[in-house]
Amino acid sequence: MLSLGILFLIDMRMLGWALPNVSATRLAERLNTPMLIGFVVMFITGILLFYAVPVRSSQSLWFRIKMVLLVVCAVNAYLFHRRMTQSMSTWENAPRAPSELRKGALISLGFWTVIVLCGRFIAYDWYDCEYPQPDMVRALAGCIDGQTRF
Amino acid sequence: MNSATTRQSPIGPYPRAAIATGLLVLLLAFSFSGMRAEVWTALLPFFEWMETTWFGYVGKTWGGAFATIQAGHLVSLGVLGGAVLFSDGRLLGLYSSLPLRDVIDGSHQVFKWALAVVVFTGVFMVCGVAVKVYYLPVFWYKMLTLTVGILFAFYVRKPLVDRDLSGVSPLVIKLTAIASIMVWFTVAATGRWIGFS
Repeated sequence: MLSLGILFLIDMRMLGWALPNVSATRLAERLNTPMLIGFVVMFITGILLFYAVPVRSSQSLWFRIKMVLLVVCAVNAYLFHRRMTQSMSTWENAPRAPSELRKGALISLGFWTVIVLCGRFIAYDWYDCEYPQPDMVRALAGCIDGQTRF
Repeated sequence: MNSATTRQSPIGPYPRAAIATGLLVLLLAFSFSGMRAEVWTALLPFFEWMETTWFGYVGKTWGGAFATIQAGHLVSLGVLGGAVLFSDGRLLGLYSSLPLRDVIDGSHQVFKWALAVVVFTGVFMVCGVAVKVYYLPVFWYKMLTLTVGILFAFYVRKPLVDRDLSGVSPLVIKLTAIASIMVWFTVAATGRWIGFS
């Protein structure tokens, strides 16, 4: 959550919502390492949590949405970083980043919020394969007959 | 002007820190006194009433609404933690190429907004399970640490960092930053603990 907090600080700075007097690119550069360390810890602990309940998690609709969004966020972060490095000299002290970077920051804020939401929803059994579900939900959740009781 | 004002205070040069310390001592004395049980018993009707409010009704009726608000609570707690780590990390000497005053002031703005969302979403969540958390000791630990955190942030840390830091001992600055990180880590940890109780 703390790495997410740091990521949100960077995104909010790009959007001009926070820390307007701090150089955006220097802020992103300095916070990059602690944020990456936080994400590594998050992924390791996430894998351990998955390892505790692998059958239910792998057949959870919310877990699957969360995984897809994590990949989308990783791609967005890569593109964001590349665009920022290419254009940093032109706007680094401006109160807001250029439009393309602001879009990337908004996508990051929105998708990470949904990732947290999906993480919370995994704990609920609304779409668990154990119960009768519409065919589309069963297909998306990857329900496997005979392996739906956890 | 500022130093003249503080010198005139009847409770010494650091009136806000002295008041916060006094409040913390009172809070500790209250926690270990017989009054605590009396106040706790008297608060039960208030917690029962919380469950009858609109927040309590929504929280108990729709699990999705509760989980969504909970996600908002977690995100805002993450932002609050990010602001604390960023600002206190700078006080500890990290990211030294970033301007100290701008980092501290900018982070405090983010901290205030995040705290407001944390408290608002927290009240909503408590309303949904008010009587349950009333009987959980860890809920009261969280309220205690949150109170300590707010008092520390606004009445100890803020007055200190608002001063010209070149005149403050680096050890005091670093100890304040470490204490701040520890207080907010405890707030977050006790919050998670509620989930497992």
